[in-house]
Amino acid sequence: MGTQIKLAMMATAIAMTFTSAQAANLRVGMQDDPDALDPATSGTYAGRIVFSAMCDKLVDIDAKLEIVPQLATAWTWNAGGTEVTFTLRDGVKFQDGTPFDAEAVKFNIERMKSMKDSKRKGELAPIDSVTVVDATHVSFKLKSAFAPLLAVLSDRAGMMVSPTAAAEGKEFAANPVCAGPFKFKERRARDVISLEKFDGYWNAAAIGYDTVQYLYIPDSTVRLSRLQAGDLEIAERIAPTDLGAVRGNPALSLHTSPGLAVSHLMINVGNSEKGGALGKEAKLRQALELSIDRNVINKVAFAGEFTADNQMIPPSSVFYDKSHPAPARDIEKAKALIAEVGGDAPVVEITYENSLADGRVAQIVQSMASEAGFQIELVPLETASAVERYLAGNFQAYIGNWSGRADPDPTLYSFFGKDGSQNVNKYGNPDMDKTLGEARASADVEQRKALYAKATGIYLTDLPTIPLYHPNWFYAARADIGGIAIYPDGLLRMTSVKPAK
Amino acid sequence: MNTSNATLQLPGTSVTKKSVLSRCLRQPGVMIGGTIILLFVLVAVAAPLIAPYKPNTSDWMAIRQGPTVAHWFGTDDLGRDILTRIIYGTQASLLVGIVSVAIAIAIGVPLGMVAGYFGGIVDMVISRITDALLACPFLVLAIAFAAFLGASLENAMIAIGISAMPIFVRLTRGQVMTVKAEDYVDAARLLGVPHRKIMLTYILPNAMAPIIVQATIIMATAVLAEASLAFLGLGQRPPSPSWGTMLDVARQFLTESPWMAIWPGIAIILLVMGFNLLGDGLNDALDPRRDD
Amino acid sequence: MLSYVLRRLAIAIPTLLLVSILVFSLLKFLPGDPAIALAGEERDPAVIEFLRQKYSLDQPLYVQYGKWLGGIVQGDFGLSIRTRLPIGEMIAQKLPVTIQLSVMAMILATLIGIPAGIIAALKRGTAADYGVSIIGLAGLSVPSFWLGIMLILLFAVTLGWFPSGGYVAFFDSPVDNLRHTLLPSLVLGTAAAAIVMRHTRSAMLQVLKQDYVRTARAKGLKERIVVVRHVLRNSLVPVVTMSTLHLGELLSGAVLTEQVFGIPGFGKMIVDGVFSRDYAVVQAVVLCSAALFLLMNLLADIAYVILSPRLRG
Repeated sequence: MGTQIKLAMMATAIAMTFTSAQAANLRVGMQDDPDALDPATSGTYAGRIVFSAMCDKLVDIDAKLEIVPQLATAWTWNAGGTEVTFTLRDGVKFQDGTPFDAEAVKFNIERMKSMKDSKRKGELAPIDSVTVVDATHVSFKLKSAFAPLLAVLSDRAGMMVSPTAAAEGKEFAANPVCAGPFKFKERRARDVISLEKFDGYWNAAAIGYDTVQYLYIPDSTVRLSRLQAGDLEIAERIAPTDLGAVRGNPALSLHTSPGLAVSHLMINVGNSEKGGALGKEAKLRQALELSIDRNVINKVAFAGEFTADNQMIPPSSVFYDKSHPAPARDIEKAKALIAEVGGDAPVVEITYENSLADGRVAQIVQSMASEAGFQIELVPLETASAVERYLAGNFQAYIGNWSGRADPDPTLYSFFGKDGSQNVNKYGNPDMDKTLGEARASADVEQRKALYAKATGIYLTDLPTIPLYHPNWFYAARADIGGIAIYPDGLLRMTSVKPAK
Repeated sequence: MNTSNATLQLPGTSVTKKSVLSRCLRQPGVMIGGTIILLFVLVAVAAPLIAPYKPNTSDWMAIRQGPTVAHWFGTDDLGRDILTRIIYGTQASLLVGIVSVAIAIAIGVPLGMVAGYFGGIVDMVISRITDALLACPFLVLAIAFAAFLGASLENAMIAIGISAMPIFVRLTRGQVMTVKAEDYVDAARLLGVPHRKIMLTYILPNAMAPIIVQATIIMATAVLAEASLAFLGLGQRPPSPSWGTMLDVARQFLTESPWMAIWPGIAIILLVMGFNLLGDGLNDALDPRRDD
Repeated sequence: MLSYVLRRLAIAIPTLLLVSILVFSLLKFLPGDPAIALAGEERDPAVIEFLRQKYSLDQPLYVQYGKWLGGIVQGDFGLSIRTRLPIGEMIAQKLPVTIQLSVMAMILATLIGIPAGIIAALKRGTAADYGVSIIGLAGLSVPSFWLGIMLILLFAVTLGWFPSGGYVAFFDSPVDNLRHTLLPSLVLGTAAAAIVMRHTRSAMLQVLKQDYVRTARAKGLKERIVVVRHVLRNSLVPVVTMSTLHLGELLSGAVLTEQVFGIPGFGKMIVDGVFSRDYAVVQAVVLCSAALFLLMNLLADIAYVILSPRLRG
């Protein structure tokens, strides 16, 4: 009798070690710690990385920024482009068992439009109402034709949370429940976020890991060294200067993608007191642009790994305007333009967040522009102060970092539209408003391309901001991890990732 | 009797001034520490003369080069000569060391004196606030003040000065209370000498010794604190060189360019050691209880 | 004794209150509205206004303070403005990390400092004494974050013996935990070791001059017994009390060390809180560290009182 029990115990122990040996855990090193984990209120890029594993959206994008199905399998527009009906995936459940249906979609959209601290109101503003057609069909009525809608729904605005978990009075962010491949397990602030596999996921077979942990490691060198040491399986945002180490290490593999983000020097053109001469005179702004060499910035600050560019939209986008290449550095022309404007040597105060990247860029700009006669003063601020000044328009020039969107409209409209959310320098050009308005209403790609080319010409002449470069995405992973595909939004999509054995 | 002019020959004021000075100079700590600091001061003042390059001139072709004949200490991530930036960085560090302590003393000593001399409610209020400030970690206070004021060298000096101020309040207060108990002070009070005169001419000179010692030690702390604040992004505005910011940048390139991290650290160590040696030496020289 | 302790505790409360008021006022004057910082990339005045209301940021200062104080008294530290996680939980997760580092640092400091101080005192005036003293001075003068960087360069990057950062909880893996905390503790303990060494040296020098030591020597007792039984035991009292005091100061050092090594501890929590204008976090953390500091002071004083009378004999 005793031996039988002993054998049983041994068998259980072996089975347990066997299963625990199989319990695959993926550790991802992240640069930032997300804010509150609620798609309606979240504003951090790091949050989007965690959401891509935890919260499925109505639609997603592919590597070419085309819209592909996720929770919605098909969609049809009406003739005027003012109503779209989605066919929802069948048999999907939220991570707490609540069924996903048209009612849930309606709940989510209305939640994100009405919740007091929702950051998605602007994005979802074009939606007038949501109608439940039947359990698997839901219809969005728009106030007017809005082509970028699907792109909007491919990000946080399209993420579906469980109506049960988001009911009134519950602190959703402390225990988020969505419909993605991994469900929330625990979170230690500024330390680690742990997710575990959701067995009821509609694509459960594709999930390659039992648990995922997102570790907050703000120092990119430390992220890389811990990856090299085997403490992590994946590390995001490797510093461009460290790429040589990754490429030269056979135990690691590098995953890259051109990015949607843009880093730009925004000039306060709308406020004459803060903007000074630079804000008033387009010639001075042109001179500033001519005095810098974007390729030098790219080479010196980023080892040439980013994409130097003069436009807000990345070259990888189909809407990029090839007819306006970045001008080469021309000190003489810059000096001439400054002389044309006359007056004293122009003073420029550049405000920026005190990050290593922005700091380097600012110092390079200062060094180069001073050769043309600009007197540049640098004002690095820590994040909270910098963001406050930015949003209040309290700066002369500001190095802005915009993470970019799949569709050009959110970028261009936010920055150059009359009431765009990022138009903190109060730029206004009626021609621009008209062009952008037409572009967002049209569903014809060729027509939109032409309109966006026109818009680009406008802002490259007015220069309310001087785009500098597009960061590219660099993920480093252990070489034995397979299925990692990085798209231009830079997010790690977990469904295809599995140990490559 | 002319009371306003009455001065008492206090035991050992003018007589020991000379012997105090010679005792100080005979201390090895004072000599070595003082020399080190003097050397740094010379470097700071003569920076434009002795530095091989300009501190903010970039050579775009020479990014992060190791030590060469052209650049003895190598170049940094923006192609600037590190040796030059270390030399110019001396100015910032010395300035912070001296000015922040001056601020701390200018506020702390009078407060401590008032608290110790008058006692009563004044003492209680000042002491309670001082205790509360001392209960907070020094660096945390400095960080909070620096963030409040905004990142710049001047603000770092103010932040460190205010954070160090409570130390001088407590020290002065203790000293004043000891000296106040002496007979000659009682006698002066009886003679009707006004409070202010008593505090300035009788009490302060006799309380100065430990304050001076503490001042040198706090200068060392201030230099370290400035480097720490710069390391956290709250120091001098770029592109001006500061040893702490140089270390912050160097951290990112530890594997490829380790030399960027070594030199600023050594500079800080040497300067701080100078202050510490000086402080130790002064402490030994001025401590009346020494029977060496 | 008991009345002494009670009196000290009674004084501690108004001090803590004062600390919280000071920190609160300081934070409120920090530029950088957390509601705006929270609003992030998008900028919607309605959202900002709602956030202000939600966190009572629009109320007069004394009301905000009163609300916060009321919560503290009930043991509720509130929610982090940024992540909406309970701060009490954050403290419970991060304080033990810093305490572990501090304790390890003090142990290392004692293991290094006391023998070094003994050697320096016994061999007073010789090269050994000067050597130890100079090293001790260097230990006090080295910027802790630089020392951390150098140790990482040597032990993690070049030799690969230790990880270059991060933290593993003790209960997850004791071995990994020690691997991750050894270098930071070394950095944190360096200044403390120097201080312990100096205190030990000067305390021993004082004791060595005492009559009873000369008597013991005159009696012909072996030098080692003299040192251990008489000198050491009596010199350790001031060392112990001084060390307990410095335990409180370790928190300042922890701020930098945790930053360099990326350790999610208490010190890093303060820095992050200040930089993200997470008022609630900073207030809670400073209050806790002030309380700890006062507690350490009290313990040091009690230790002194208890140990001192035993000196005679």
